[in-house]
Amino acid sequence: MENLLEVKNLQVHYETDKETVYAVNGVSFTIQNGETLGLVGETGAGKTTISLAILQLLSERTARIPKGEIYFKGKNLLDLGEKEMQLIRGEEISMIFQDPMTALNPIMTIGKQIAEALRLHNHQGLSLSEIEEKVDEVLKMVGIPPERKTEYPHQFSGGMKQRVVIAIALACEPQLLIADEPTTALDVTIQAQVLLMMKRLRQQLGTSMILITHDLGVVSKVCDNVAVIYAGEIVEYGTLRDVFSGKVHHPYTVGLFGSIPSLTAKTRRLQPIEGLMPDPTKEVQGCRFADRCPHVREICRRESPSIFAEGSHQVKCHLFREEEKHA
Amino acid sequence: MPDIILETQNLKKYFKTRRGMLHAVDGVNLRIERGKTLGIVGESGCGKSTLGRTIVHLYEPTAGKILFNGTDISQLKKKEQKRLHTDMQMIFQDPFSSLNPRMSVQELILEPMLVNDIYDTREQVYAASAKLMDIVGLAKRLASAYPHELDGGRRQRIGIARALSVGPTFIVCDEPVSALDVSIQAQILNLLMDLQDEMGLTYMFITHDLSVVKHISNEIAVMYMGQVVEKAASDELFAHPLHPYTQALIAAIPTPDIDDGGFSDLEPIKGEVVSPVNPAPGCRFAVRCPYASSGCTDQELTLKEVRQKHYVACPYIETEEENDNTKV
Repeated sequence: MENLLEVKNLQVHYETDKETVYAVNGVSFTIQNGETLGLVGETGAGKTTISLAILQLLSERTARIPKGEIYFKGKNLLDLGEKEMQLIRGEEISMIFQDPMTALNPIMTIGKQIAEALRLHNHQGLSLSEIEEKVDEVLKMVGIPPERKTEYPHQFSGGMKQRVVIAIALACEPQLLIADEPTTALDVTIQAQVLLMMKRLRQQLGTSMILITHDLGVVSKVCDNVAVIYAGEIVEYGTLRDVFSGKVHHPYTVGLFGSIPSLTAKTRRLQPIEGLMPDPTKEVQGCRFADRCPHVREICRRESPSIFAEGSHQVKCHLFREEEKHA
Repeated sequence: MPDIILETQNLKKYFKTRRGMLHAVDGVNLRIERGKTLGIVGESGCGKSTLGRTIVHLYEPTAGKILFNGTDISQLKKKEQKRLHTDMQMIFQDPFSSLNPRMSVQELILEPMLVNDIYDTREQVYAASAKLMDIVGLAKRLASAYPHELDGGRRQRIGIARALSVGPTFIVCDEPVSALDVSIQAQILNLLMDLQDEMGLTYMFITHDLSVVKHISNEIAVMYMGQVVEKAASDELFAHPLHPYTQALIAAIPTPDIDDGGFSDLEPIKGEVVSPVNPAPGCRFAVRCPYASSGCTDQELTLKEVRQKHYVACPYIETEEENDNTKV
């Protein structure tokens, strides 16, 4: 299958007068047509920075991309100018932001906000009435009665607002959708409604998706492949099955799973990861997880680990390299 | 007889709004056993935080009784209330806005002890604050740090130290881990459970997260629009959820499990929570309930015991005895 998106060794730094923040440190992944990739990690892992880099929405003042390439349908997006990017953004790649309360314009009806996206990318030369028809169609698709298109965002509940945001993102039928924590702000029953709807639309439209989340539960319901991100690096990458039930795992992935209270098993104590994420303003010599890792060895602090691969499953850790040698 | 530390009897808290009375908490009867944890679970706007705040007297109850150690505290005078605060404390959701940004860690922990005149001398207060920092796992070097210098987990540890500083026996924890990352969340949950074991604390643990509430609670009450719709021991509730709302809630949790068909057979409940202003009589879940009929809205529903210590407010769920009778 053809790669729709290929990110190669991407690095993103934020530079200010005082310090440099190493937000993304050499991330590589691919997305094929129709695939959903989950980017999982905690606050500050660099998930959102990666998506902003793909869309070239990083702050021009502070963000630098010292290394890396982002190929979308064979073109390196980093070589494109702002004019060319505008043709891709919202049309071929679009984004759903985390907080539907702030992503919508409060003084514009939702119908106008959806029509705006269609108007700005109107290559087919649709007439105004055709655009209105399309707005109705998109609203029906996300389960909002088209009569409500003359209402303002504050007249909708949180779940409905997120549906509007999804409708705007899907209006131009993009090939790639980046969803940044699309259900984090929603209640669990509403989250289930929205996740099911996104799954259905994806199948219907054949859209590829990057789902950014901190919730392994959400990933397990929606994604085909998973990349676990820690301190700006992918520490584990593979199919859903690889990451959830593969033979070997990165100690950070193990810690993430150990931190979630189980609904089925009876556990008196959780097994959290001790300590905190490393300071992103410091350059690290060895493995970035070393300070919190229960299996840390001397080599971990000296050398950055290379990738241990087993079929589609990749783990960036010294632990398995060693085992391989012993075997 | 179980040793009941806190009991609410038909507790109500209404707020006046322009459109009418908002029934935030509407007739809640709960009992919490000393040394145990009662989990309160529900979605946003179900009144769970208002319930917690009314119990610790941050809100005046509209009606009903709150019995703490057997005495009614709902009608206390200001002075008597203050004494109560050394027995009852609260841990807040957002460790970013619940701490004064201009106070250092030590000042923040000292404050409740000074306000409540817990100790006679300054030395005692300082010694107590140092001990508290140790108990909640804050390093000594952080004593003079300010909240903005700390991460969410450490800030929540300050919130816990402040609550513990006056020596309470009962703590209302209002979504204490919701703002935290999952690995930090696990650290704080472990800390809260260790403190309970060591000090014999009683918790009322308010959360929207069902896996967290199952993990920490002995008993769980499920709230919907100001009312408790189901109440049972933690394991019992998850093994036999009876109320249609509880069933829908549990089914909607995305568990990190890849062999359950990925939600493919899930039928999420339709619609959303309706307005709690001047609610219609009867079951408030009826408009979203797949089993609803006229029997749900013509009568006020009360919790009834349908299995041992398992209470449900739904007219269609029969008690085990009734079931047995019909079988005979």
